[in-house]
Amino acid sequence: MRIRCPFCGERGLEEFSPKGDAAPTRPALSNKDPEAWHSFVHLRENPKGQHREYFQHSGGCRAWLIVTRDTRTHNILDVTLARQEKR
Amino acid sequence: MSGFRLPSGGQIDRSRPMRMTFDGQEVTGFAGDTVASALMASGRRVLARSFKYHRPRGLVGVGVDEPNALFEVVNGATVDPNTRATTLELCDGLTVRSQNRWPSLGFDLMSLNDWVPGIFSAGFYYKTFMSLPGGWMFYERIIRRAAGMGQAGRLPDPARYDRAHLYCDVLVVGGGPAGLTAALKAADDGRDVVLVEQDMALGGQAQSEPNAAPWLRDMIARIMAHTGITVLTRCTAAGDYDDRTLMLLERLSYTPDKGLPDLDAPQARLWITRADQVILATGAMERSIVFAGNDAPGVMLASAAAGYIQRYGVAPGRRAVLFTNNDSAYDQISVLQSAGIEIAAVVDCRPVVSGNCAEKARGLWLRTGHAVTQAIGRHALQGVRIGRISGGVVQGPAGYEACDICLVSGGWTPTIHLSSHRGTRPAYARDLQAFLPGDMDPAYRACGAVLGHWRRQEAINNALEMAPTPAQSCSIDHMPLWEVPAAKGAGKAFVDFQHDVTASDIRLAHREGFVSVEHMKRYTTLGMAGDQGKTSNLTGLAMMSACLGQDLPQTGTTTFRPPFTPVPIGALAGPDRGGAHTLLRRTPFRALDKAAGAVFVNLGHWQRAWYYPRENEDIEDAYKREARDVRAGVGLCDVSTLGKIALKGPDTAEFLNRVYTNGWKTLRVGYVRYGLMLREDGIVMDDGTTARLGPDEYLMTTTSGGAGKVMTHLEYLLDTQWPDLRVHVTSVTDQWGGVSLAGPKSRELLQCIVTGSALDGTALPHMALTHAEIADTPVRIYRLSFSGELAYEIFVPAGYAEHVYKVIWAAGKKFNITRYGVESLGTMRIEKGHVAGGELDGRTTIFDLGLGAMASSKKGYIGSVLQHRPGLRSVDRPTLVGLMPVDPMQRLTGGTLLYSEGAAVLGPGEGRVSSATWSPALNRHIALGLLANGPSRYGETVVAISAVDGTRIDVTVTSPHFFDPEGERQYA
Repeated sequence: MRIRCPFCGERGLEEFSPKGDAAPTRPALSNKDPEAWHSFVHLRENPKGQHREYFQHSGGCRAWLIVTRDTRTHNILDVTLARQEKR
Repeated sequence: MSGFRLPSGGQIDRSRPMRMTFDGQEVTGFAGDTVASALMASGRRVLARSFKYHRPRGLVGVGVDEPNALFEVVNGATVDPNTRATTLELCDGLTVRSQNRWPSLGFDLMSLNDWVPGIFSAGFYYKTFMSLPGGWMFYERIIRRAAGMGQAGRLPDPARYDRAHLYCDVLVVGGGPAGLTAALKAADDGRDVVLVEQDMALGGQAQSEPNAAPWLRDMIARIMAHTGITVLTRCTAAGDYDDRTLMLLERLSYTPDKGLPDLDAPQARLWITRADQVILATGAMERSIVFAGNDAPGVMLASAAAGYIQRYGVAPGRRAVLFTNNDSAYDQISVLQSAGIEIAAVVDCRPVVSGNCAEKARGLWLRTGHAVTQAIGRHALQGVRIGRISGGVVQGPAGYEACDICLVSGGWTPTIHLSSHRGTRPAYARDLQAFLPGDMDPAYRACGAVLGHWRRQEAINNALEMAPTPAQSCSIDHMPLWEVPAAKGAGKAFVDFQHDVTASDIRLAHREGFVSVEHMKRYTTLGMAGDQGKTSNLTGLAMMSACLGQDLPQTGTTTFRPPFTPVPIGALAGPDRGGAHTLLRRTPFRALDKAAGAVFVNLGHWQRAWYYPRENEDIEDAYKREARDVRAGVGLCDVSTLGKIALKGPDTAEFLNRVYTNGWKTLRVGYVRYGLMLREDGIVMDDGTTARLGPDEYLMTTTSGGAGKVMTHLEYLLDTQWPDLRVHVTSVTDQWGGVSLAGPKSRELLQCIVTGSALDGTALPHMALTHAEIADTPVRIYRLSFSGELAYEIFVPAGYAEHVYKVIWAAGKKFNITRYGVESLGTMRIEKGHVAGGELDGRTTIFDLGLGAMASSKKGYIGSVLQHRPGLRSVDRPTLVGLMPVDPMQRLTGGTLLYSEGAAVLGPGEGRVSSATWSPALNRHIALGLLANGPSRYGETVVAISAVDGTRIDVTVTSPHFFDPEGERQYA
């Protein structure tokens, strides 16, 4: 697999570390509802098809990326900088 | 004697004889021979004993599909088992031996297996041995010895394997007519082309074709001369992975030119190849027809016989019966005749054959509507029975024809393996009776025989198309015939030679209710040997379909997974072995420690000084002395391995507040605070200190092992969760060397060498830091204690670390300074009840560690909510305690389980010993542990029981703070 890092260009998968689903939204730190945190930390969709996932370019610029991957083919459809998207 | 060398012909170099040893006997051949062709030329027929029945076996194929002739290649102390004789090139000094026989190939006692009815049929082992007393576990050992392949060597593989990356516009897999044509076309279009061919020579089937030589010579010349084409022969495309990444294995030894492997040079090279476009011109393999006794040495594929004649100038025998269901076998007649082979009969199951075929068989005994029903001969084929066949059923009695070879053609099977490695399901082409590559990724295309274009000109034309399409109809007339039903008593008919799976095994599996082809495969082990069923999968599938009375594609398809042919594990590991397997980190004090006689230990990636033995000291003596000397005077310990992360930015305090459990807003510049970090789920992740160097500047330390994890965690949070926080993190672990100077005399020592800062208790109180110089070198001095003594951590830019260390050491002489390693460091922290790796094991909460006071209730932080999940706050969770053996001389070990006195020794107990040591300060063994309801049980005696050796030790539960619980020494 190859991932096109927005900073470094196309690089081999071995330079990246996956973190998983980018969809869950972190509850506010003031939120004390255990269910909200349980859902954020533990509950994940397992979609067939497009999936947005965090990857870190750990063997490169160390930026965190959001990689859109087709779970059926491993085709990578999009790569963006998490920092840009989350702002 | 049967096979023999022809006086001329073949692509061998008769001026270069090569000698090898086979089972201790010398065999000669020529450069360009394979071991198989050389053995055939020597007249040997039995080259192997079969997997289960130990039946004598000979050559069936001429290439990668060969199921029988597998040898152990012996080179010095190393043994490569299961090497195909048909692809192993003959070279001088080669030593090979046959496998799976005892005492010899000619006389194998294990062949008794073949004479016991019913033995080793499908499911035999399980049905028989599962119910016997002692069961499978006992018998398996015996069975594994009897049924098997070659034995691998037991020594580490000394061979070197290279790894390389290759990028190209077009990767063409297969150097046959289609591949050559496609490669040349792509290169002429200006593309950068790599052509890979597993064989030693280019040409594929065209090498065996009598009239193809001029065309082939011309093509090869053009390809070799083309600057846009890189040709890799002896290079197998073994696997296809995501994003057009292919794994190629190139053989670099065992060739006539290079000879035996040279340990200084790589034996093979693994190419990790990425291509914009992949062209699969992988060709097709001839398939056989199943009949009774079809494994007798001398029964082989018709195209293989032609291959031995055309490529190696070897005749497989003298008198042949040709048995076919299709036209392609007729092309071999002239080849056989050119080698002087007498053709006793041409047996064709089709009732009528074309005039063209009849013409090619002119003058021969052509028996249409007939089939070979049985092969006669055990160690060598004596003859075959030929009977009339109609509707797949043998009619009437069969006649006998003497022959020493029976050449079979059951049609052609496209080599679609690579096309389905990424999960593309093959497509069934009814007219071809074969699976073709399915709907592949658009960057892939196939051409030639793999698409059913059997004949050379067809394959070439197909390769020239813009978008090559599969054959619409079969260009070779054929009639489906997978199996000639065996008459009763005619003997075994084999489908999978390499795993000894017979036609009756498949029917037995069907009778026992295995309707799914996947189950049938696993039950009979069809296609599960090293050749992955190259010659057997489709036949087995067709036979299963016949049992089920359904169409072949309804029954299922075959699934191919990498590798296409076996790849040595060493080639996958490549250079990543031994010391190069993982990185090794050393601190700036390595040379000094080495000179001081340190014994090192690898902890994570770090190599650290473990202890510093003086003469005659062992580890026990050394660490006890070091710990005693530190508490009595002063000691120096390398703490450079601590993770160090620089944090900068106006929101750093807020960020620390979110990642640590305790509060950070009140930390003043020049002070250090201890912090605990939780994982998102509330379990403790790491601990360490963070110093405030300036208003917006902090330096965090982490545990040595947790540095990478914490860094990644912080980066993740800043990039993905809180990008609004203005904080920048940088790993500076390697930029700073660090030592801990600990002991009651540490301040006095430092005061002798430090300039630029006062060090007394008022100027530099506990948990404060200062910037100063030692011997003109700027240093940061933290007053911190892990040992419980008055202690300082001194951080120096890594390049000056050695220099500063030497100055400290020299000044320490008059204080009787000692070096101490990680062993005594561990001892002193256990005496103090500080938690470390044994306690921060990914299972403990802040409350389990007795550090609940550090869990702020005034703010939210990572893990703050989930650490209160009911199960994590249950009162009977194991909680940090100290443990003292009732007999102070009894040694405790980490991992020992704790039980109440008199309680049943069952399950995980009520807790565990996490870290244990001899305490020089207390003069007894002590330990830290986690015990249910721990803090309320001080004074109670519990039993520590080792689940490994059953040792029982009575221990008293105490506070974990064994030594100087009030901390008077560190605050001194």
